[in-house]
Amino acid sequence: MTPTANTSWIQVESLDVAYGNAPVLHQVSASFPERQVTAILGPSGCGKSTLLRVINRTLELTPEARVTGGQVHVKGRNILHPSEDIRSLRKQVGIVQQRPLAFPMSIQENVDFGRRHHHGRLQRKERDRITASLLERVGLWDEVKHRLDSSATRLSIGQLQRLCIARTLANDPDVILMDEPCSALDPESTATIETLIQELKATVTILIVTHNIAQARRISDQILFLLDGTVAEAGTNAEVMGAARNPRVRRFLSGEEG
Amino acid sequence: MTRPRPLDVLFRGLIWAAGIVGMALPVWIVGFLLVRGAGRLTWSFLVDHPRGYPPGTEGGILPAILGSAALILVGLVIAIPLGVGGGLYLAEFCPSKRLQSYARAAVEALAGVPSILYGLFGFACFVVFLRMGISLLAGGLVLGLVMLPILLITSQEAFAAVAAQYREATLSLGTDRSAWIFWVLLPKARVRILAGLVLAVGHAVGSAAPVLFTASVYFRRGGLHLDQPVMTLPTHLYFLVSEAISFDHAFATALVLVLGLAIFNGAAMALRHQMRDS
Ligand SMILES: Nc1ncnc2c1ncn2[C@@H]1O[C@H](COP(=O)(O)OP(=O)(O)O)[C@@H](O)[C@H]1O
Ligand SMILES: [Mg+2]
Repeated sequence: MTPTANTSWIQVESLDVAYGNAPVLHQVSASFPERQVTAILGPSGCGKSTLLRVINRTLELTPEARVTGGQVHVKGRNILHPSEDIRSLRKQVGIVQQRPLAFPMSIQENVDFGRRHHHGRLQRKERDRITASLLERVGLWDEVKHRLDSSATRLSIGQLQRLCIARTLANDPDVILMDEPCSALDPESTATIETLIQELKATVTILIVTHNIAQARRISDQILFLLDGTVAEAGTNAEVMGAARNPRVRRFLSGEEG
Repeated sequence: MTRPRPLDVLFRGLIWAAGIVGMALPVWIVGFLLVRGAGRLTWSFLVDHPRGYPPGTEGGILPAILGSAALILVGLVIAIPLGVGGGLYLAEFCPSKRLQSYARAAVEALAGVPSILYGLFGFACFVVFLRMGISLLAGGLVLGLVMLPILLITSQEAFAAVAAQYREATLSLGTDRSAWIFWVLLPKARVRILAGLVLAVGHAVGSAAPVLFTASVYFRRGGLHLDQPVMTLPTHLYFLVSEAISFDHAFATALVLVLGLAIFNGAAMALRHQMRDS
């Protein structure tokens, strides 16, 4: 078990993942530089969500899923090691899941759920201040400020998507994995989230799965392109967007294949 | 337009007939009870003790109402923790799928056991062996056993119906399992659990057999005590009819049982509505 040279990176080495007997990721190696945005692209079903779920170990909550080989290091820690403290890993490496779900509690409590669990209850005033600033940052504050204590289950899917981002941010993670976080957002909310991502970059390492090529072009520093569970292309935004070697990747990026 | 095929017409007719009979039967039964029992159903019938000779020919059925309610309460004290806890275990903690399906099959078999056998078991085990005597406690325990499998099965299904993605969403924040169970799983499952509870109580409150040898007496004065027998609605009804004491009172008693259940169901529905909103 050799620590990676640059201990501030997320390093995935020769990762193999299967659901039951069906392999989904095959020999995936990638590195994600600290405080940069890496866009993960690829057609549906190529394994993007699976890769994210390995990195904060939520994959193992799916009983039939198995990591069959490889290693993942986050800041030098071998996170797939059995002795890894999964709860602290998941706090440090937050995820915004593809399907946004409201917990059966108020909007306020949803935002505060993880934070309260890790750091305990706060004075009401302090909690309200934190909630407001988080909702402000994800562009949801104006829509919900008058009903923070009403149930979150009645929010629209676009609102939920932003609520879930706020909920993950509240944990104050070092890494945020975002799985199609803007898929249900209008252009204005999408712009808010893209601005947020640019701000977060100062302190947080971001991996974002997106189907929006233009978005990847706008916000990412690095691009990882997956095809059928393998890495088809990896490099800086300019390298991949400008000169992808793989013809399928080129067709995908030019919008001829989706 | 193609001509409808005869088989289609036949099936459609059968389905309609089944639907109409299915809807009409309960209406007819309740209507019949209303017609026969409503005349006797006065306020004093609800709040008075049985009177006359033999008792029950006059007066009311208050002790039977209280006795049935008390038996259900005692039963629920047993059935809710064991049923919901057992359902939670099977859905969330059970280590193997195989064990889960065996346990599930056993519980289903238990739900199918005729209620007279529960009565017999309760008599042998609680009344005689554990020396509880014919008592509210013994009968309540038996009703708890009657309700347990229904509640356990519906609870397990309620928990299993909460999408696994909620589990992942909760645990992905680094929270532990107890946070998932208490703050997300239970609140999301409680509406369905409540539906199971209504089903279980409805089944238990109307059964005479489980309490016949374990808790109930035909007539009794005095309040409710865990170590004393009680009167119940179904057994009172049973004696009124089988001893030909008073058919009018029997119908009125049946009506009270049905109305009580209707009120209980209504309350549960209101509660459910409120839970959905929260
Ligand atoms: N729980 C599961 N059981 C079996 N197969 C799954 C499961 N989840 C995902 N898969 C399969 O794994 C492959 C990769 O899925 P996923 O990582 O969700 O892809 P993407 O996010 O790129 O669309 C797909 O073929 C999908 O059908
Ligand atoms: Mg996906």
